[in-house]
Amino acid sequence: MRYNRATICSVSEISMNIVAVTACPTGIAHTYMAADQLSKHAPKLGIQIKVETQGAMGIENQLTANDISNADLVLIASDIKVEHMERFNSAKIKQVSIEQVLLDARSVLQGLLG
Amino acid sequence: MKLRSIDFMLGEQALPIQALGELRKLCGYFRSVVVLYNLSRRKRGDAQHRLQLLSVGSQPWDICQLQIEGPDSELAEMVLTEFINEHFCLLRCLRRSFIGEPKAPALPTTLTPPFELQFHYHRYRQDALYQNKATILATASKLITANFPSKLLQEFEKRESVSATVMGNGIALPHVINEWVPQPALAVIPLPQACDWGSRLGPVSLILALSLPKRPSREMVQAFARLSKATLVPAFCQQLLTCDSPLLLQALLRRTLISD
Repeated sequence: MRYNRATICSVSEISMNIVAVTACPTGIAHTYMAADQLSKHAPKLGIQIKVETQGAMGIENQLTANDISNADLVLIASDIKVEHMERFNSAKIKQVSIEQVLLDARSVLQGLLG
Repeated sequence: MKLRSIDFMLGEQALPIQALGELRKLCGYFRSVVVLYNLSRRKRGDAQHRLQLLSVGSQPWDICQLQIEGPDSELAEMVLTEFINEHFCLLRCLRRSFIGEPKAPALPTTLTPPFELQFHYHRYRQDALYQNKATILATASKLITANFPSKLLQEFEKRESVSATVMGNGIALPHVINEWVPQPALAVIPLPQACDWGSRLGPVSLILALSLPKRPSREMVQAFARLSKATLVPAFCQQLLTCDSPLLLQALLRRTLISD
């Protein structure tokens, strides 16, 4: 087995702090599924995450200016244009498709750790 | 030896102690092994072991199955079907003579989400409806609306053109919010063979096509978000894919819509 930063990182050690936005065209399924997957896998990799959902129920768990400025990275998991992108102008952004997250959320997050 | 099963739904009190005692006693009359399988919790326990039954952690309205296997399983099935019918909500009528008049295949009102839901099930027929994604979506549209099937089909196709709605685990969940169908509707189409849905998540064998009205209520969105999140669980998808009873399939889906 190959060890990397992600696998040897214990849960108590936060290696990275990210904020994420999930969105999909209809906003009743994938938005919430992707948010679930990211929130589930991130702690296992020592990643602290806050996920904003932009679905049919509107924007929920909205990211604050403070959240964004404290984050090492902004992850956008979406197949459509995300609202209020201007918030992330000065942040490092990584964009992925919803399918990538559903296919293997762990790999997507591991990819962020570098 | 054939495994026999009885599908049912628990009531408000889940598994009351008194019913547990009676179940244990009845199972003691037979040589067959009887297992209670709670499909909603995905846990099972020997029906003759009280602790095992308790550790299943059944909750109100859970969908369960009694699985019976052994030399006298037919007789056990008859007796236990009557027991289930008395204490819980039986989800399938196996033989007419067991319990008198067969119940209409209706689900109890407790399985209704807090909004009206049109549920459609497509029985497999030997025709060309299942050739590809386009014909399957057309079938789903016709099931959901008699008035505007082509309009609804356009909406489904528009959504699919952005990204395929495969959830993984062999299930596709095409879903749209549209102005053509005033009530929430879910069309269930099991496929005789796996069909390519244009996604890296693999081919699909079960289609759950969903239509929500414009400006859906919060309850509707929450209910369907629960369903879509449930499709991330391989064991849940396996239950849906292997379910041969339309009534049980409907019960499993509705149970997911009403709560976690």
